[in-house]
Amino acid sequence: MTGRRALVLIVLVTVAFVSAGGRAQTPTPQPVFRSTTDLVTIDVAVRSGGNPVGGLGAKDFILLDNGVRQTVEVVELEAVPVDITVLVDATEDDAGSVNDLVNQASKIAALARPTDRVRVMHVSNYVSDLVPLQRAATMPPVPALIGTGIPSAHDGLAAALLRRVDPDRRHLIIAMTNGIDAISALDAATVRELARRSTATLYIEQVDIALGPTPPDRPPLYLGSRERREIDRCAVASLCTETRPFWRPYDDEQFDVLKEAAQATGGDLYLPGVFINRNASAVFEKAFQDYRRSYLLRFTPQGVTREGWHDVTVTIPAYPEVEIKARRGYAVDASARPPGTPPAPPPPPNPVVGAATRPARAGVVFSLDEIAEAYGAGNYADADAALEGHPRLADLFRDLERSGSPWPGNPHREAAFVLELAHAGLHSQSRPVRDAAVQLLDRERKLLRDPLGLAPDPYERYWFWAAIMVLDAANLQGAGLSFVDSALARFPDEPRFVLARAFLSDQRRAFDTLSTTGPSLALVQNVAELYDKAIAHESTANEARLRKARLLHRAGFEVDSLALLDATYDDPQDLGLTYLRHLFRGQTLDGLGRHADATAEYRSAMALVPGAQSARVGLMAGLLRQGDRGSAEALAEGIQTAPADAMDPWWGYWLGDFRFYPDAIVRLREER
Amino acid sequence: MHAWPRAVLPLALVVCAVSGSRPDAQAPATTALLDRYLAGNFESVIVGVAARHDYDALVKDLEHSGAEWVDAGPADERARRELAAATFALESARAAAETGDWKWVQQVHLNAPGTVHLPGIPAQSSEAADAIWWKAPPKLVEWGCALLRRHADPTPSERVWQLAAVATVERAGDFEFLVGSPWEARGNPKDEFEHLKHVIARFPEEPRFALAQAVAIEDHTWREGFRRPRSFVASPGDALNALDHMSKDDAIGAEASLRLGYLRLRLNRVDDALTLFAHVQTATRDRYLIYLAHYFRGQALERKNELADAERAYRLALDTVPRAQSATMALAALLVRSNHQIEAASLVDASLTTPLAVDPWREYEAADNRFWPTLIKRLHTDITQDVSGGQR
Repeated sequence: MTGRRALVLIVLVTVAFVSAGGRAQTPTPQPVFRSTTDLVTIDVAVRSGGNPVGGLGAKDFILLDNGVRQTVEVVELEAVPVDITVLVDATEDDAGSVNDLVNQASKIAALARPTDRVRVMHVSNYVSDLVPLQRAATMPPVPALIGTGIPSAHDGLAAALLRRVDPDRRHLIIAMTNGIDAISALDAATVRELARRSTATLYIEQVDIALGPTPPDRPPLYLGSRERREIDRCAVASLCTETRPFWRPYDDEQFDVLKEAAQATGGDLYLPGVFINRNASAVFEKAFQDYRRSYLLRFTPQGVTREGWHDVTVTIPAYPEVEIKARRGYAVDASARPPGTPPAPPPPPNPVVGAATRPARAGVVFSLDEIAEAYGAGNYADADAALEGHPRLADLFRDLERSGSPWPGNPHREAAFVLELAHAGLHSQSRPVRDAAVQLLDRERKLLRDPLGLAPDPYERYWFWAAIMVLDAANLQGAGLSFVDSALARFPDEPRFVLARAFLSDQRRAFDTLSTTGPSLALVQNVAELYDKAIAHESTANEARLRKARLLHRAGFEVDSLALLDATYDDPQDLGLTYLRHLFRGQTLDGLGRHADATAEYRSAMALVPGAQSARVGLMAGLLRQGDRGSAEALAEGIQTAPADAMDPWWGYWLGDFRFYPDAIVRLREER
Repeated sequence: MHAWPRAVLPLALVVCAVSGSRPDAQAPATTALLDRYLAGNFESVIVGVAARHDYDALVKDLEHSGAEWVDAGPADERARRELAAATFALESARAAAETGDWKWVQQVHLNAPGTVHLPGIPAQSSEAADAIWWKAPPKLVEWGCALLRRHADPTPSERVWQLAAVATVERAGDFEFLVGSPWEARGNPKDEFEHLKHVIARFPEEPRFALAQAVAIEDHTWREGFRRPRSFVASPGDALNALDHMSKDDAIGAEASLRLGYLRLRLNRVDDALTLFAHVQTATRDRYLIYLAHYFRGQALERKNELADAERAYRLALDTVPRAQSATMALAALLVRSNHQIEAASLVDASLTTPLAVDPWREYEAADNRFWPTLIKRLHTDITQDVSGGQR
């Protein structure tokens, strides 16, 4: 056997896929790679008798990519800067050895070259960056750790393997873990799969474990310190179960699989005792020395399909007896465009966007996803326009119920959206759609409830109020009253809900002829008592008096009505209510035969809202009664020529609180 | 070498633990801490208690003088003082549970083979059921609970306190404190607290306490010794029954369905699990539950090799709780398998940025502990309000 043939070559192969422009810092004697196309890089370390071997050139290597030989160029890795990730698994399990692990991490950082970068990751219940990636030369000391929580070793290893790496740097991971996992999302087999596809080289130093008592005919049993601690405590103090914390979904160890994972990257897993010095820093020092003296093979794939997984084999024919370990392949990211290809076309615009400003498109049925997307993007008017006249609103409701919230992280946005869907449904001519809209609101009411039942939640209160507004406007007193009951159960002292109960009870008989006797008297008394409860609250007293006065006026109790109206006042914050105050005073004074006073009230109302017809009609009738036919005719003519969009607060009287809806929905949309 | 009988040594350890925990001479008296706590200095008092680290002494102090401190106040302040003392004990329990033991469960082997018999003790061997020794955290919780239970009629504040107590116990993950030992015989069963038994007697209509019972039963399905694979489930029958019973409830049905679904997934009843996870999404707006429903759904779909749907499920989980690590890792692994390494790396990097997102999977068995911030805030508010409801 010649000296060269006796070489035992251990080839560490790491593959990276980089786009054009990602270029290593190539030393002068090596070929300078210039490429305008895809570039793949592979790490190759060559060792003989435990020592790295230099002097190999491109002609020594044969690299097959999916069976097709590639032309490679060689760069010595010594010149390539490295990102070093040190993973420290420090939990309750290894609480006794955490300080040592931190010391090891510091020693590893000290071994890095000035151009290298180091990060320290910590594994516990969560994986975190203890020291973010930074230049080794200026890295601060690794902070102290307390071993708490249960280990997510697999997730930690996977996270380290998946970190983004600059294309002109290599990535070396040294993981200090006992390999026992208790809560990770990923199992060991998945870590192995990720390792095979990673561009990093992974070394696992299996810390914290020691050989336990094993019968001679059984494989060695390695125990973690938690296990040893519990066995010791059990023997000494009969404490054979944990003393805290107790939940541990798995206690999963697959050391062999983790070893395969490390080896698949060109690294390895070291058990205690394999090296004389088994500290992680010693393992790292040796691995890093080898790594730096290995080679970087680069090639531009030729003759193979670009996308997908590429099997790679590396051989050195001149030394047929050498042992070669190589990564099995690399993957081309499916989202990376081949050089020279045009960018993907942008997705088609959402058809809902612009619906508010464009004429309705016949035959366009917007989907829930489209409407929700527009709504989520803040295009509220467009979303409302898409809902208005939507021919399949009930389908939208069902879709929403089936799919759950379009914004699972933002329940308030969904609650506002539901309100707008329901509002559209409540305007439908179809009874089933209106019923479905009520059910939608009722379902949302339950979903919105604080799971602990801890009232009050201001958002819930406001949402209830807005829901009552749309039910007021839909003239659905039964559903409205049911909602008010629910609202008052949650917020017993909310004055607007108290007033809403009175109003909806009043609205239920809006078209009845009331009188001072018979069954209607009982109704009037009942509703009047409900208004009295709202009068007891300062914030709703004015409106409640006004509405109660109107009820009494309808039933013929003019004196009582006027007494109540005398107790009301002009509210500068609510022009509509002030208008109604004067209108109702006019009507009640007319009922009492005080026509001149009534006329004055109508004029006051008209001064507030000049285009409003209700006061104009009252005034016209008063003038006729007073014999001023000319003025009455002039007013009548004015009514006929009034602009179509003239507003009259009276028209909104039987819509209850709906006058607040535009402001309320804006506020609900904005609450997060 | 002289060996101690095993039954003697545990007793000696307990005696040592108790006698070794005397209050620091410089430390403020517990009643002084209660005064400061009552005055609204919640955080600084609990930080001070944690620094003292002598929770056994705190238990003794409260047992000795806590009720006396409550009764020392004016009659119209009693309720507030009671709530303050109980909440002080609860917060101290949480601090104690951070680092201290929650309970000891000791095997009792009287004159077991291999031990040396003491003179005068007949040479016989017997084995008794394990003995339970509660440590400071559960004792503090139970002290607070007993204080509030002095009154026949529970108050809304007590309800909040009991919810907070359940949150604290679930955070420690000890089902035994909540429901006793229906599965393991104890040598000293009279020492069991069975906390939920007396809580439910006071709040029989509160669904969350019923759910806490089911969670405690579910907790038992995870228990066993070392080296448990992911597929391990211990005696799931009771948990399945309990959760199934609650899965239709308006208030807790979503959470019961989620836990039932996950238990079924662990039992490899994948389609049943998927049906339950779908129900969760429509039955709650609790982000913790929705996240877990999507995350578990992703796991179930992976088992069915429906990888595109699994990917969608993980993305929905991350829409619900962005950057949560469990769904991030699961999604990243799927993406790498489909050759989307760049997005996978980007997701992983984002999940590691600080502050880390609270991951509902990591808090799965801590259950109601997710409500702790809300509950303790409410208790603090109640403590700082006087009897008439005004701010002090």
